[in-house]
Amino acid sequence: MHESAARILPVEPVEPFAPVTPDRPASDRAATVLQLRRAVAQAGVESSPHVGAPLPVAPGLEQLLPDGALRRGTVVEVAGSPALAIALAAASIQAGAWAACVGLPTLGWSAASVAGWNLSRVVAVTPSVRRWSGVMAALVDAMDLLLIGPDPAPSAAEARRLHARARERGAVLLLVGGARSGWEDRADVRLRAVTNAWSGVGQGWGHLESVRMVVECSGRRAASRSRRIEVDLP
Amino acid sequence: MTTNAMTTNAMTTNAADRPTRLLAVYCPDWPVIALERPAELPVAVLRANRIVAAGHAARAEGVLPGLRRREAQARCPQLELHDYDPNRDARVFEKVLIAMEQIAPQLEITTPGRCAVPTIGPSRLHGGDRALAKVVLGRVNIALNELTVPTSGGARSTRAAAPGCVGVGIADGPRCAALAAEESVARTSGRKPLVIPPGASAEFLASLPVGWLDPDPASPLTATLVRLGLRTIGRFAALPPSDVLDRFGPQGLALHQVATGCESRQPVLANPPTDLSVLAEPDPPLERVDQAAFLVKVLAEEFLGQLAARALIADRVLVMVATADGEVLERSWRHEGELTPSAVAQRVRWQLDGWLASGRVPGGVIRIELHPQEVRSAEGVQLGLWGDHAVVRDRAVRGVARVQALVGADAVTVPEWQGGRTPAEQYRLVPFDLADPDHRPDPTDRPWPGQIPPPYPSVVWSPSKSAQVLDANGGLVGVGGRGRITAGPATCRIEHGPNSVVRSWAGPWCADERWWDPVRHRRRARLQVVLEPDGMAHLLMLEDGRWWVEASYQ
Repeated sequence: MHESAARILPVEPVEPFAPVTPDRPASDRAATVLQLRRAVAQAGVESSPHVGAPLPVAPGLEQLLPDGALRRGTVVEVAGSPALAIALAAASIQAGAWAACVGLPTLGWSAASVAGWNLSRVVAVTPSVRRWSGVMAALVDAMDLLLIGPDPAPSAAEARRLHARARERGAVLLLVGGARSGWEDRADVRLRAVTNAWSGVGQGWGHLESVRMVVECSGRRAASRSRRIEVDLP
Repeated sequence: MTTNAMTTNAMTTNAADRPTRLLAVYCPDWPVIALERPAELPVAVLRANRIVAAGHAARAEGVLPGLRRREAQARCPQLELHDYDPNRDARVFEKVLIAMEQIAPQLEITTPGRCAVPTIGPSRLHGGDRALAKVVLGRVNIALNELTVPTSGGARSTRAAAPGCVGVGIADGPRCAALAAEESVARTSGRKPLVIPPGASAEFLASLPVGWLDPDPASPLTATLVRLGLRTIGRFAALPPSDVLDRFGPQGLALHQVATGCESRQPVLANPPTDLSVLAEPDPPLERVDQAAFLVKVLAEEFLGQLAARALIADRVLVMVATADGEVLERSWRHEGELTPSAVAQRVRWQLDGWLASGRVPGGVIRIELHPQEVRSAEGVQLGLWGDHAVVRDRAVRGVARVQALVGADAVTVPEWQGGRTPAEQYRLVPFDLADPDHRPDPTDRPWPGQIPPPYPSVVWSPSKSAQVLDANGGLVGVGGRGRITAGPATCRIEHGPNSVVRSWAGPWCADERWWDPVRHRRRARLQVVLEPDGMAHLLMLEDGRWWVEASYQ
């Protein structure tokens, strides 16, 4: 992967490296700029040896994410719905990714198991504030996916370091729970469950069956435009 | 094709010289004995909602391994249930090993409750296999008697009266000896040892079920044999070895050799080169086993890494420990099946724990060495070790070890299914080191009576949050003795939050648990509610007139 990325630039130098003269039409220049941008973006993504393919998500959830998958090295904030976080993580844990749940003592393991998590590839840790950054650094190196609960909250500097390390190692950080200190403006994608509409339950009859959730998606770059999307769980 | 050449070579030499004679000791239901409870109490050990071991008194009431918790409690309401803990089993088994060690050195342990020893020297000393077996049986029984706590009267409990405590068998080869020990329990309730004469192994094994051949009862290989109609070991032994190799590969051939009484015990390298052993020198000396967790893990990885680099595997690991007062202790662990770093580390931890708990290392441990024994080339085994998943797994396990070094070995946990009616009961968190990655209990698809129907809540509150559930007139909602709700819930308030209007609700589901037990008897009723304004759903529970939020579907 590393080598192929390095080769991309020399392979198609014709257009990008041709001198851009003022007499060339503007549309041509725009195309060149676009091509250069693509090459840079591609090289940027692929140059880190640890960064692999994005982590897949279940078909119904692809529309929530700008790449249709969890891009490695990104921070995804999931507010208002641990169930949504479980669903987002399910496809990759099932496919072979390892995950750590940090500071999530209330996570429903039955729900996770039914959603498709392979629980033999999941560990749970609740470190103290003092140990938090050391534990997280070790986990970012080892795991593909980190589900991080609100407590304990890191300082802004710790969160920044962890994010940088996650980018380098290709881990995805899923922040489970509401807005939190330390992580301000870190999230690349923000998902917030606004309303839930449960079906299967009435006035004293039935039982909860499935939920249609309205999720507000916002974020940076490709996800900067705020959208509202309906998803069905489970 | 080298595989073929090597195995045929092995077969011809095996026919010439018989495998080593071994004495095997088997303590049935070891997890129960390791609890050190009085023998007359009905005690059983539970793992993932299934009985894995039951004591004599419990068996008399019909509690057998494999039963579910509920069935076992129905058969014996006063049953005392304990959680499965391999560490405790290993620690207590050390006391039996110390007793054995005085009779015969070179002990090798398979799992807590099972060990073996070569008979060649001790037999000559005690005047034959049969005499040796009797001495060992007597000594182990004494050790077991000491384990049982005296009953309240101060008199020694009557464990001797409880039959079937220990089986001793002597035969050619480790697997055959282990089966002889098991048969001694089955045939004579452990009163008499079973000695299979040299060369008579095949005859002894012939009538036993083929599933016993593999130590793993869930082995797919023996299951296939049964499906093919080869129900006894004798029928399997009658197949030509070349056909077995053809159809089942090297692992099948190894089992076939056990079946024909030519159990392969000859190592490819008689004495493995010393550079295959690894050592660590902890400074300051280790005095508690949890200090060693990280060290042992690294050591185990280094140990297997060295073997794997040479495409070798070891059937046994010799754990050698030097104490601060200059004493050297050693013990050998046999491993059945694939040797993984976690399996090696677990055995070293067990061994250290056993020695430290029995006070045999007064000054602490200053050196730990691991030596491979019975090293052979890794035929047909290494395939499982090198997959893409294995690489990812290794990376994850190394990361976990680093986290354990920071927060302690028991703080890193994995969820393990144990079954239950409520979301909080269905999973428990066990320390990462105690969970066996290859044999994780699996939630079965069969229904669990009385469980709240799926989907399961994504948040399980521990402890539960208090709640107030009121009807339309502002009265407290209750559930009558016949399981009827007094009035439909209209508003719900969780802890000190605002009063929320109930949009819809379902239930109540009543559970009358352990009605036979005055102390642990619980009557509860559960309700699912969906609250305004955002449609959040909760699982509410009513007990003794108070409402709680057990879990939430967020």
